Amino acid sequence: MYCYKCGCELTKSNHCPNCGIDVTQYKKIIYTSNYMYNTGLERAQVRDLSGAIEALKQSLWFNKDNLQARNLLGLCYFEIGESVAAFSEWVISKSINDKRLHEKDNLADTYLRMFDEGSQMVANITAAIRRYNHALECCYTDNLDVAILQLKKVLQLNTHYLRARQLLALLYIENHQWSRAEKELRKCKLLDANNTTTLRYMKEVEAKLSPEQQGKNLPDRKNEGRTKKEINKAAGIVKYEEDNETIIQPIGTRTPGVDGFRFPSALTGGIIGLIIGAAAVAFLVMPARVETVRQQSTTQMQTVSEELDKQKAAAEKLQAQVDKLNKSAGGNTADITKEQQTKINALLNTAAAYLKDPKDSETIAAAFADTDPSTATEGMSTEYTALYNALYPNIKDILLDQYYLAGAKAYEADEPDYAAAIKNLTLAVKFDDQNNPSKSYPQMLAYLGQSYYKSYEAADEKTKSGEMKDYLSNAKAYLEKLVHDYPKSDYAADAEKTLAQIPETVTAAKIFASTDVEEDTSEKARESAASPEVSGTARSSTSAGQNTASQTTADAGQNNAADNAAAANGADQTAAAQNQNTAAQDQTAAAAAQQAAAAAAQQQAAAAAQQQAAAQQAAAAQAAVAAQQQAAAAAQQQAAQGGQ
Amino acid sequence: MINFDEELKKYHPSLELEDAEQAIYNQDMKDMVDVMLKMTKDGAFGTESSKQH
Repeated sequence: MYCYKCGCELTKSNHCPNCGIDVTQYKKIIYTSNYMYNTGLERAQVRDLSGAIEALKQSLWFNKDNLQARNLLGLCYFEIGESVAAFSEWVISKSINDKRLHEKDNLADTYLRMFDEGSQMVANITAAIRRYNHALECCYTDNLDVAILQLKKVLQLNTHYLRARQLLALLYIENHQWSRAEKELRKCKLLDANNTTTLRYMKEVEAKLSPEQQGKNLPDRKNEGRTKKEINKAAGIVKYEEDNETIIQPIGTRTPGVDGFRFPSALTGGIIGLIIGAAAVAFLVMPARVETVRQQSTTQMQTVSEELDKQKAAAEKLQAQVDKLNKSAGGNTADITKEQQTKINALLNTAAAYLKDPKDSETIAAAFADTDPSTATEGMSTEYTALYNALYPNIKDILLDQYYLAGAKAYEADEPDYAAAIKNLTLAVKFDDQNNPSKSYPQMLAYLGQSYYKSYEAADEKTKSGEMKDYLSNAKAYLEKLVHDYPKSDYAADAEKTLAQIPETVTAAKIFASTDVEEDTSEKARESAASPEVSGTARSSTSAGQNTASQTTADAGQNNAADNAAAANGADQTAAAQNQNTAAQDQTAAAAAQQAAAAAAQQQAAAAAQQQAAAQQAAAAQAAVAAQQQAAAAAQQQAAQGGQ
Repeated sequence: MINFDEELKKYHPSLELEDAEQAIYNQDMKDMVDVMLKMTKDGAFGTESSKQH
C-alpha cells in the first residue's frame, strides 16, 4: 500500500511516513477494495460469475487501481461471453499510470496478447456479437423463429455467450418449448451457477415441467411445443399449434408417436428398409440375373451338345473303321490262310503222288480233285505258281483221261449212272484246256448235257424242283456249246434234238466264258493242236519272273507233247528220250515242290505279319475311339455341372 | 410467470470491438479514493498539515 499523495509505502501507522498525511480512511478504502476482490475471487472459484462480477465491480469502485480486481473482472466477463467488456477492463488495467504497479507483471498484457494473436477468435467474437444484435432486433419485431436461428448460430460461434443463451431460453419459454429451454438453462448454469436470470427462467421451466403440475391443463412432454387441441366436432377437425405452425387435421387422425402409436425407431426403420430392399432385389434384380445365367448355361449346353455330337460321329466313324479292319484282318487272314493252305496242300499232295508213281492216276486225281485250274495260281506266291505250272501239264492229261474214261463208262453202261457221269465228266471238262480242248471234248459236252437232261427227266417232281432245279440249265449250256462250237460233230444232232425238248424259258447256265473268247479258243483248237497258246501266262501272277517260269514250263510241256507224239509213232529211242524228259521234269518238279514248301512257309509268315499289322491298326483305331468317347463323356459332365 | 416483453427489455445490444474504445473513454473511473481526495481537498477530513498521534 502506498500513499495516495506522495506514493510512499505506508506502514502500520495511520499517517504517511513521508508526507505525514492521514491515511486512515484511505487504508479502510483499500482494505474494503481488497476484501471485495477476495469475495469476487471466491465467487469466481465456485463459478458464481455474476456474484464475482458484482464483487469485483464494488472492489473497483472502492479502488480503481486494484489491478487484480480489474483483471479478474475482465476474466469473468470473458468467461460469460462479454468479450468487449473484458477487453475494456484489460485495456484499462494496462493503461493505469502507476510506475510502481507497472513494475509488477500485469496479467492484462497476457490476456490482450490473446486478442492480438487469435484473429479467428476475434472474427468469431465479432460475428457472434453481430448475430446476437440481429437476433435481438428480430425479437423486438416478433420474428422469434429467426431470432432463434440467429441465436443458435451465435452459440455455435461463442459457446460461452451467456446472455445469448439466456435469450434463446427465453424464446423457447415463449414458444412453450420447455425442454429445450431447460436444456439451454442448464448450460447457462454450468457457465454461471448463481445467475439470477438463469435461476428465474429455470424455475419457470421446472414449474412447467413439474410432474406435480401435469393434468392441470398444462401441455405434457408428448405434446411438447403444442398448444391445447381445439376440437371442432361440427367441422370434424382438430386444430392446434405446434412450433409456430397451425395444424388442422380431421378428427381421429392418429399422429405417430403422440397419439398412442409410436413411430418405429431408427433401428426398426432400418430393418424395414432392409426388408424392402431385399424384396426389391429379389423381385427385380434376381429374375434378370437368373435369366442371364440360364441363357449362358443354355448356350454352354448347346455348345457342349454340338461338340458331343461331333465327337460321337467321329467315334462312330472310327469304330466302323475298326470293325472293318478287324473284319478284313481276321477274315482276310483266315481266308487267305485257309485258301492258300488248301491250295498248297493240294499241290504238294499232287506233287508227292506224281513223284511217287506218275501212273497212279487215281491217287493223283484224288489229290488234285479240289484244285480249280482256272484259279489255282491266283494270290499264290511265285514259287507255288512255278511248281503248279511245272506240275499241271504233266498231270492234266492224266486227270483228263481218268475222269473222261470214268464218266464215259458211267454214261455208256447198260444202266447209266448219270450222277457219276456228271461228276467225272464235269471234272474232265474242267481239266480239259478250253482254249485247246482235246478231241474227246465234244463227246464230253454231249455226255454231260445228256446226263443232266436225262437225270432231270427221270427224277420226280420234288427232286426236279429241289436238287435238280438247275439240271436243265446245265444241260442246255453244255448242249448249246456243243452245237455252237462243234456243229459237225457226231453228237450235235442228238444235242439239237434234246435242246428242242428243253423249254425255251429255261436259260442256259453260265458255265463257259464269253462266246468271243470261246470262238477264239475253238478256232485255235481247230486250226492247230501242235501250237498251243501259253495259257499258263494268262492264269499266273503278274510278275515277269513268273511269266518266264510259266513259259519255260509251257515250253517243257510242249516238248513233252511233241515227244509223246513221236513216241506214239513208236521207236525205243523216242520212248527213251521221253522217259529222260519225264525224269528231268520230275526232278524239276521235285525242286519246285521244295521251293513251294519254302514259299508256303514264307507266305504263312507274311500272312501272320499282315494279320498282326491289321490287328495293331485295329487296336490303334479302337484306342482312338475310346479316347474320343472319354472326351465326349467328360464334356457332357462339364455341361451338366454348368447347367446346374 | 415470466413476461417475455419485460424480460426482453433487460437485454441490450452488445458492443462491438470497434466500439470498445469509445466505451472505455466514456467509462466513469471515479472511485472512493477519488471521493475521499475530493473530500479531503474540500476540508472534510481536516488540513494536510494536521497530524494525529
